[in-house]
Order: sequence, then structure tokens, then C-alpha cells
Amino acid sequence: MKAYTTKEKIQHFLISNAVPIIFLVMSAIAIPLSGFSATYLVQEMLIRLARNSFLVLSLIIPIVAGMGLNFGMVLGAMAGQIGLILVSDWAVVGMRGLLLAALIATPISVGLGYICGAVLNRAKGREMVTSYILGFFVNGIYQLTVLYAFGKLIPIANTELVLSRGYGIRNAINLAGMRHGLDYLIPLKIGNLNVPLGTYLTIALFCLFIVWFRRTKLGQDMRAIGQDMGVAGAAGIPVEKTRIIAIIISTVLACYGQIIFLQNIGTMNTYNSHDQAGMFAIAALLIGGATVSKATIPNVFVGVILFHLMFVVSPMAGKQLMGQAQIGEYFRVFVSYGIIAISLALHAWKRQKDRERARRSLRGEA
Amino acid sequence: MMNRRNGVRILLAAALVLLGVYLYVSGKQHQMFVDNMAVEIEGKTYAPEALVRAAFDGGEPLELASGDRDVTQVVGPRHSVKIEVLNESGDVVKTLEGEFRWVSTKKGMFSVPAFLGGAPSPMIDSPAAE
Repeated sequence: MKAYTTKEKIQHFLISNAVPIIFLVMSAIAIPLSGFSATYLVQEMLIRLARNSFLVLSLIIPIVAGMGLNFGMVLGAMAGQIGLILVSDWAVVGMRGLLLAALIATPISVGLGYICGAVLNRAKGREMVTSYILGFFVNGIYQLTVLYAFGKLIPIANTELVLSRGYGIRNAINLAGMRHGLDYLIPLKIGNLNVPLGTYLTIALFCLFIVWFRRTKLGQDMRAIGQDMGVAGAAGIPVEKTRIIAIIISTVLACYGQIIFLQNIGTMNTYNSHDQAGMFAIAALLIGGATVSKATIPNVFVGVILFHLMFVVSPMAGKQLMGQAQIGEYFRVFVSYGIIAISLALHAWKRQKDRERARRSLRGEA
Repeated sequence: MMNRRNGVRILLAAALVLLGVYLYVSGKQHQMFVDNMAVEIEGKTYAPEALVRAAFDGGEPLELASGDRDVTQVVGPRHSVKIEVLNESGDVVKTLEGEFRWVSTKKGMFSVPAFLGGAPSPMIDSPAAE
């Protein structure tokens, strides 16, 4: 086989890391325009990294199993929100409230993950679009439950949570009792910066879990399935069962991720929080350089930092450039949705380029 | 069929339920009234102090004059309290610290005179439950 030239190596690096490079350049332009101080940006990044990393990490396992980006993670997010609604009603506060919410939400997310995995097994090769649509379907059931069953079938005693008609949950729930329950469980202040150490330790444990899990028999099975389902099946790996387990793990972790996310925010948007969680987590992972078929832990952290850096600086940069912060807000929405489209298109383009390169190198062409 | 694996599963489920109950009991936030009025418990009358400062679980203290009633939030079943009795110029003349247990929403009012007088429990009937 022919060795690659320097030009080809640079070209390959640029293609492989096109999305993070684009975002890095955009950030480099937007940061000075925004006028924010370095201390402010570092504090924001510390908070946002803690807020989002767990959610984004929950996407890794299905990618390892070859199931692409799990748009069905919103199912787990919905389960987490149901846990938080119940715990808010019972007035259980602090870290105990968060743990209780996670405990309640776990069986719900396991059930939803099983359903999602079973459906995706019937849609092999089209997992992403199927899980995306499944998210809409379960969102309908969630809304029906929260709008009609809560307060009617499921008793809700706290009148602050219930709509004035007597049933259904209000659009916004104040999680003041649980706010930063995990973040500042272990208080740490470095200079003027508050470090959410509790959440970082949880994220570190989760990263260790992923590293360990990849080395287990189940993790190896998932990798084998991700590479070739047919070969894995022929080798005696229970393909469908393993795929379901991958989705269940991802859904449960997304559920915990959503609880961590909302305890950081301190307010829950009952009918929208989960939608945003799925879309933004996927966008962040893709911005970090992950693809539909390959994602690593560094991709998660790079992605969250770059994505949220744009989130913070773009409104102010928009205001400085155009005189209107709203332009920046539009830009944020455009960025979050647009980057998914760009990443998927780049992924397809990269795969085509890789195939061409492989063909050329096999032929021994320059 | 009840085999070893199912037995472990049942035990695990039971442990999770118990954990849930523990989290609920220990993390439940209660609205507690704090009262500095004369109160009669088991035939004995406890008179209020002219001015007291009461802090629960190391939180922000409440100042109550004789006949005052305030409200605060406490979390869990066991609580610590620090009561300072103040004179007219606001100086602390007596400090009493102790612990008490949350009984129920019905008995959701902490009586400062009962606590200072050494009543069996400072928790008395809450006006919200009446």
C-alpha cells in the first residue's frame, strides 16, 4: 500500500475534525466581539460542562453498539422529569430529593428503554430516524400523562404544581429545593470561581464506568455488533438482546443526566425541557468531533465546551455586530439545529472520501 | 419459580423500596410554625419570653416577641434548635440548645415557651391543621 503524503494527511485531519475546527474558528471570532471577561467565560463553562456532560455521555454506548445517535434519549429525560415532578410534590429536597427522583424514574426509563430497543430491532439500519420519531410518540404519551393523569389518576397535593383547573401540571416547576443539590454537595471555590465538584465527581465516575464497560464481555459484544451485526450473530452473540441492553443503559443514563441538568438549572419546563435536552446533547457530541459511528469521551467534553461557548458568546456578539441580541438568539437556534445537519452531511461526505481513499490506496494510485 | 437469581432480584427490589422510604423520610421538607405564646401542655402552663431568637438546624434565626408566631422550613425528622433569650436592649441573657423530632403535620408548631420550660415535646398542634 502507498504511504500518505503530508498534504493528504493534513486533508484527512481537516476532514476528520471539520466540525470542531469550524466551531473553534467561530468562537475565536465571537469571543472578542462579545466583550465577556475570561473569568466570566470560565465560570460559565464550568457550570455548563457540569450541566450537560452526563447527558452527552449517555449517547456513547448506543454508538458503540452501532445504533447511531440515540435520539430516543428524550424518553429517559421524560422519565427523569416524572421523577422530579413527584418529588417536588412530596417536597423532598436536596440531594435526597434528587436520589429519590432517580429511584422513581429508573424503572420508568428501563421500561421505555426496553420498548425503544425492541422497536429499533425492527428498524435495523434506520435507528436514528426511528428513535427520533419514537421520541415524538412517547412525548405524546408523556404530555397526556402530565396534562391529564397528574392530579386526576396520580394524586398531586401541592397546589403550586397543579393547573388552576385542578389537574395537569403547570408549564414551569420551581426546583428551588433541589437546585444545585448535587453541584455544590462538596463546596469548592477557587478564587472567584465556584466549582460544581459533586457533579464533576459523578461525571468522572460515569467516565470510568464507560471505560470499564467497554472492556467487559457485554461491552465487547456491543463493539462486535457495532462493527458487523451479521458476523457478531454468527459468532453466537445475542444481537437483538445486546442492542436492547445498549438502549436501556443509554435511556437510564439519559434519565439521570436530565435530573442532573435540571438540578443545575433550578427550573423545569414541564413540556419542553426533554426536547431541548436530546437535540442539544446530540449537537454537542457532534461538535466535539464524534460521528454517527464513533464517539469517545474527549469528544463529549470538547463538544460541550465548544457548543456552550457559542451559546454564551453568540447573543452578545450578535448585539455588538447587529445592535440586537435577538439576532444572536436566532443564531443560537440556527447553530444547534444546523450543526446536526452539517455533521450528518459531513459524516456522509467523509465516508465517501474514506472509501475513495481506500480504493485508491488498494489500487496503488497517487 | 423461586430460584437463587429471583431471590436476589426480590431482595434487591426490597432494598430499593427501603432506600426510597429512607430518602422520603429523611429528605421531606416540612413547614413548621414557631410560636412564642403561652401554652398549656399536660396541665402545665408555659409562659412566653419577651423576646427570643430561634435558629433551626443552623439556619437563619427568627426573632419573636411575646405573642409572635412565624413560619420556617425544616428538612427531615430530627432537628437541632438554638434559642437565645434577649433583654430589652437586645443582649443575649440566656441561650438554650437542644434537639427535637418532627411528629406530624398536625403537630407542626414549635412552641418556644414549651422548649424553654422543658416540656416533654416542644411540638404542639399546628394552626394549619385545625
